[in-house]
Amino acid sequence: MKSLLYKDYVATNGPIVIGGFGLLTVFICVFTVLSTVDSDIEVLLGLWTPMVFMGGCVYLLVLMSQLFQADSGKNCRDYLLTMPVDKKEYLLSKYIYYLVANYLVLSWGIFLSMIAATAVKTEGMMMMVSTVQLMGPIVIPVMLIMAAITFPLYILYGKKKGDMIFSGFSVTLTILLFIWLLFGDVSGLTNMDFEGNMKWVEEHTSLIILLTTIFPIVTGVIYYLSYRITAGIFVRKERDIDE
Amino acid sequence: MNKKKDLTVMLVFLFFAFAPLWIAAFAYYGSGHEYGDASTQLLCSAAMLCPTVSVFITGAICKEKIDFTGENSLKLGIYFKDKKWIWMLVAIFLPIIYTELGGWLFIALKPECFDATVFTEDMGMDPAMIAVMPLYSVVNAMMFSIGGLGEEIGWRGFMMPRLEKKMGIGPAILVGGIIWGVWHYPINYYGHNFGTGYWGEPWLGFLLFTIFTISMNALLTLAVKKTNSVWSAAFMHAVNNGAGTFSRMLMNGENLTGFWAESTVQFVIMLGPSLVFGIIAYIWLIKLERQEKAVKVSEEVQAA
Repeated sequence: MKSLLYKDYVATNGPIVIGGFGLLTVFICVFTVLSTVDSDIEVLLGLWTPMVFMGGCVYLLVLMSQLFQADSGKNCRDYLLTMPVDKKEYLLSKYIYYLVANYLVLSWGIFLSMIAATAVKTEGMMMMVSTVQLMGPIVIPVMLIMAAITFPLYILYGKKKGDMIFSGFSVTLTILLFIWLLFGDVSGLTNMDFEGNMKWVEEHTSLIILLTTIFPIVTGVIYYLSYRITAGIFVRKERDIDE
Repeated sequence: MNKKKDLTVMLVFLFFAFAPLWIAAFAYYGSGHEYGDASTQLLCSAAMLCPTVSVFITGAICKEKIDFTGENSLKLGIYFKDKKWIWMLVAIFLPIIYTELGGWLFIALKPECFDATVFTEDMGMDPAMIAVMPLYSVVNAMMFSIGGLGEEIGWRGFMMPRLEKKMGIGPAILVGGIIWGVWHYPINYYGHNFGTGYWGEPWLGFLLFTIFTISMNALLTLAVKKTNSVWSAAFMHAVNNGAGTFSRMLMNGENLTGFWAESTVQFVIMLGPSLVFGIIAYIWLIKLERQEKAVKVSEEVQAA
């Protein structure tokens, strides 16, 4: 398991990614220090902190495909499975690696918001910075649910077909979004009131707490079931091919 | 030679675990900042990562091999077989149980503290939501357990096995707990856990906190031993730090006056049940050590 996780770490350019996240942290730190001198920078800090965290989430999206990219080339997976590596263990390493990456990105986002919160003074900007702490428990489980859906595709149908199915699904969603933007009622978007939304969040604390409690638990169950079902099919499928 | 190297490793580890927190806390709060301001959360969270950072610095300086999993490692693997999952659940939910017991014990002793309006009016929550709060605090603590993990890798993953090897589990729990407690002193001094202006400040606070860390050290070490993973300790630590229990939701500290408000008695009563669990864990660990020794001796006899 240790070796498989390390293989994924190297194959997905782990050291470079960590360096990138480090640079982004330095970037937020510099803005934090500057905003104590120039209060106008506080606005940038308030805007950039959630954006940088979203950057981390985009990386998690890319990582889903990246985890299987290296294995698909030059029959790497087939070669790997000729070694004394259990197929279930191979699959588990993917799920664990992605789970750990999510955990680290979430923790990193929280640290970013803590760093930014030390310099932010106005209420509006404080709200912006704290959205990371609000978004984290929602966005990260969403990423895990997406992984729970896409990993079986990559494992069972291969990287290319998996990418095609995933892209087809994403494109369909995007087209539906465009149709809604063109013909639907978008008055809610044009009249978006950020403070009003935050007020709504404050007024519906109970609902938010209920969601942030149940959602991660449900996600955990879905993620685990995804692994168990995929592992069952994966092992059987490989056996069929062997036979 | 080995003894000297072990001592050097431990001293280097402790230096790099202690120095950042002690220097940052005295420099920051000593320059007039108040404990509890916006930077406090950052300072405390960053400090929680110091023991882990110290492990890797120590590894690099002393050329000590740091393994993540397996024998003599930081125990970063997670195992569920051989009923380890039960111990994992116990580690996650035990802090809720002893914090709840402590809270109700305090309310029983000071009934005027009980205030059902705190949850609905001050926190602005639906009364029915109180049923969800303990689970919410557990889920939240697990998701944001990186701080707990940061401490546990250092204290339970690196320091405790070395102390145990050196002096046996009993003294190791005491010494490890004292070291862990002393590490917290700068933030205790500026108001962490006890606030300021209490009777016997700061020495009584230091003493009580050290007793608490010794007891928690026993509990966390037992969790690590039973699951063979520091993750159980990390989750336990995180849930302990942020336990949202029914009693806490229904308690109003502002109703306390005089000695009850100005002393550490609230801390003592509320953490009483955790001390009981700590003592049980301590006895359990000593028994485990005796069993391990007995097995070892019988194996040696058989081999001879």
